Amino acid sequence: MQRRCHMMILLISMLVTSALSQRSDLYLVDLLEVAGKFEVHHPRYLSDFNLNGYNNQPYFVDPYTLLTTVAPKAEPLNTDIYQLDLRSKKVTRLTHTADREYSPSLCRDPRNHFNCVIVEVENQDNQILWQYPLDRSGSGQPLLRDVKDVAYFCELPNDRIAVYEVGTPNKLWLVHKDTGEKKFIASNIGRSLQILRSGHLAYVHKFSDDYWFLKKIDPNNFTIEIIKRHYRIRKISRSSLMIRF
Amino acid sequence: MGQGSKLYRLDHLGDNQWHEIADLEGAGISNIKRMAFNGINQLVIVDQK
Repeated sequence: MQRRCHMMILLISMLVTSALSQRSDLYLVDLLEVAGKFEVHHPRYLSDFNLNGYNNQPYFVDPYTLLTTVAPKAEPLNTDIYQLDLRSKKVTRLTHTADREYSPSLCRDPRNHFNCVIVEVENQDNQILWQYPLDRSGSGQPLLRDVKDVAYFCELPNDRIAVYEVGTPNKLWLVHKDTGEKKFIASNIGRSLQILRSGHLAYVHKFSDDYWFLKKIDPNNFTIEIIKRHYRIRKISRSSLMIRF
Repeated sequence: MGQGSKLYRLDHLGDNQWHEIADLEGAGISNIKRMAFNGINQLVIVDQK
């Protein structure tokens, strides 16, 4: 029994390592609207500073500055947050820690900080939200003190944060930054949490294996609407959804 | 939205269907996993090998 347990732990560790260490590359493309139709032009490779490594979870701080998660090929679990200046091509490493950082995004207040998920390797691999200064002047602070098992998140305009909580099933919560109040929204959701121009949060609700729904929620009154019905996308990349209406 | 080497756009205010806008296989992109939009005219795409 004990041996079987050890084997299971080893297998899970190997799967997690494999999932986290997959090579991923960044490309920049121009998106143009011509006569009401969208066209994509001029693809160029961005991640030549980390060839064959892990380069993922891009986020625009402004139209020319990108935050991204990076791990070298030799240390696929040693993720840190980098900043790329798309005009000067300058690459700046923003974090250099023993913990693993993922999913950076600009903080709403103060704007000179960014938020990310950190996996605390010396604290049972807790996955929490952390806030770092962009100018690397300090080691940062927790964004939400009592929320763990965070895989993905999105900061909303009304002092709430949408949190994708790891679990079986995974869960979507809206958590108030100051009070810690948690509002359960849905289970079995997709990895993409996107804020719309209206202030709504868009997310995928996997109602069943065959039917996934693209939904939006008003974070002020928690009203949920379906954007796209009968959204059968089993074979479509789960985290490649990007929404701007 | 991405699938494989292709990008799709949902015409939410029109027919509410996904329409292909690009196939980036020629650029060496085969497995789109994530995207980020700069708010003006550029996308960053993650291609997972």
